[in-house]
Amino acid sequence: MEAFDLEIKPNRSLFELDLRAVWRYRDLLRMFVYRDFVTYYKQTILGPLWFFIQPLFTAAINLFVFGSLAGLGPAGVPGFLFYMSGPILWQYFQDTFLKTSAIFIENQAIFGKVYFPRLIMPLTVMISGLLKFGVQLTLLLLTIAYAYGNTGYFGMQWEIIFFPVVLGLIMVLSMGFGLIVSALTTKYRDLKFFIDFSIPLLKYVTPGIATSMALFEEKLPSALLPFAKINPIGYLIDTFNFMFLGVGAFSWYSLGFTAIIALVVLFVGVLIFNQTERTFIDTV
Amino acid sequence: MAKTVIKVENLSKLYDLGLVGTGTLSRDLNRAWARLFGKPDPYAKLADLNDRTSISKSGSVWALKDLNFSVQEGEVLGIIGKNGAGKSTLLKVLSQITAPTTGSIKVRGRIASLLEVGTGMHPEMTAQQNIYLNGSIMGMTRNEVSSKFDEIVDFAGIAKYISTPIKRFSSGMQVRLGFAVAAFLEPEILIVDEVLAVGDAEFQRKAIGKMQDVSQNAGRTVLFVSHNMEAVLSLCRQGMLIEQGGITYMGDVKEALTFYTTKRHESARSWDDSNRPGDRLVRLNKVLIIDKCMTQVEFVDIRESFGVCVEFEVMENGIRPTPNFHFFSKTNTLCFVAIAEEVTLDRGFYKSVTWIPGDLLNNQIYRIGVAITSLKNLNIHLYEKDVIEIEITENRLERIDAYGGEFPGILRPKFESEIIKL
Repeated sequence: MEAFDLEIKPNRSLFELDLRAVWRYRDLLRMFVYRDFVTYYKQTILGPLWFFIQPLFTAAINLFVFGSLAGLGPAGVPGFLFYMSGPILWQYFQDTFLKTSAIFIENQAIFGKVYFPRLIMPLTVMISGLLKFGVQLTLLLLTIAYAYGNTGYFGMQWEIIFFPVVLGLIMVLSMGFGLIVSALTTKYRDLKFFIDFSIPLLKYVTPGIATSMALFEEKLPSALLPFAKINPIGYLIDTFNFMFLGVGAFSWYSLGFTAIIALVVLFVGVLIFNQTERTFIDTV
Repeated sequence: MAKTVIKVENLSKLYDLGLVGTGTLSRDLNRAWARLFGKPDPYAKLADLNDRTSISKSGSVWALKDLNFSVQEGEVLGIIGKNGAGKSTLLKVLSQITAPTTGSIKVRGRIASLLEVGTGMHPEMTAQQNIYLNGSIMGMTRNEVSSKFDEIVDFAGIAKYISTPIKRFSSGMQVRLGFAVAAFLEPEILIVDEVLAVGDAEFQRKAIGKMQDVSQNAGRTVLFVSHNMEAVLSLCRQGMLIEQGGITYMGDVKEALTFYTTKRHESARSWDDSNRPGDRLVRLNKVLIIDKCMTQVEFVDIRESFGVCVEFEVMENGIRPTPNFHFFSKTNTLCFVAIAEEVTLDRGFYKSVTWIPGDLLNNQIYRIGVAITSLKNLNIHLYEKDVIEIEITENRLERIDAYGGEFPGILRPKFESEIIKL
């Protein structure tokens, strides 16, 4: 009996996932992340400064619209800090989710010519996004330090040691949701149009962006409350705000709930992606 | 004994035709329904064979249908066929870019496919960065790229521009860089598609040399798809001819090429009443090539004479329409015009043969244009360009010179010569 290393078959069973191949291609993952890093702000004058400019302007506009005009700013925390921290975490989610969901469409040129474990691509998106997030987190820390010097406000909580958990969950959630959508958009692009406008809208109804979760739940019509309760991103942003600014809440219960959702979403996402990658190039 | 490195069994690939739109949703639902009850794909049964010239009725087509073959270790297999015959689909399925519809492929060893060079290279990045990036995309590890880095730069001939973003490179230089990376891949099986069609002549020689080197010295298996017959001939020992999604020939590469080229060209052509070329005086009925025994042929040995035969109708008495034949080489150069004897003809149907002597043409394919002209005041009754083709063949084993290779030139007449000692 002859032994072959690889068998290419029409169908792959649902759970046949070759993670060892992904590991073998780890250098490729590194190169892709490196590529994103060096090419992101090529041929701009301000370069990586744009990483700073985005959250500063977002914070200023949010402060004006939600804080001053709508009067939603949570009490006892400098508004500028609050309107900077939530959107930074949200932005990571939105970028990663939207980019992952477009993965087959954006990369058809490469996918159509070379085989490598396709899962490398969403992993690249997830990790490359961390770079921008890291820079913006540093900016947040600088702003916190500046606010402490100016106003004496310092709200950081000891629970910040669990920040890696929050970060891990948001990474898994954004990639997982992205994978599910990516598979569905290869043939029918309608969904892509839908999420491209609905995700930025979802931002405003996520607790911790426009206002704190407590205030958000207070203002929301009680009939809609269950919908707000199942938004896993809301819990993460609220926890994030609490860790860094002291506004919000930290509860293992909500983190546990988010973790379960994240794992289910990742599991389903990877399964769907794994099936789609086989023939998407015929229909994309 | 050589090991089998690729084993393909009952391989088929079905494609849907047309646009993805509202119609495809109902199709997908039908398919999902059938699958739910364990039935086969309802569209597969209706699908047409891969023939791009006829209009499909079913909306699905078998790009590949029931392929069975195996490739031995160290074999260099040339895959030839017309555009759209299924070559590229086969390569795509082999390199796991898309999954087959039915059948299986078993592979021993690492496959690298070169369906394009420089895949994934980023214009903003420098040549050095791109070598690492492209190398990793092709499946090399960072260390592998590092250990071959100098050779790659040397092969591409871009040492001076190593830290220049490749968007400043000419397209030819980008291709060289891409091929250089690919050339230093060390897979057990290499799949190459037409990449040699780009780059200047020097680079093409280098590329072919490198591929020969890889297959002969390193004993690796190469699958090579190309329309460049010379490249296929010089690289491959085995040939596979794909037509309409199926294998029509597999075996010795020369046989495969002969099979392909003789099938491809037309050596006779006839017209019916409705579309005969010509004017009110002369109409063309038929053109064909015959050998000395007056039988119709498609190719002729280089030493033999052959006749170009036309059948035409003359519709007025006493005119002198004269058939003449324009021979074009494969480089589209007009080699000569062969003119028949000028004779006065009355109304009626005629057949004229013009004999082309042996030892005149080179061994290549000539395209022949047919004209019928009254030479006095040059009245051209008809001129049909590229009507037929004739292939001049040569059995090199029977040749007596010490050279044994190709002779350049659009003609190759045999000359008398003498040598005298002084």
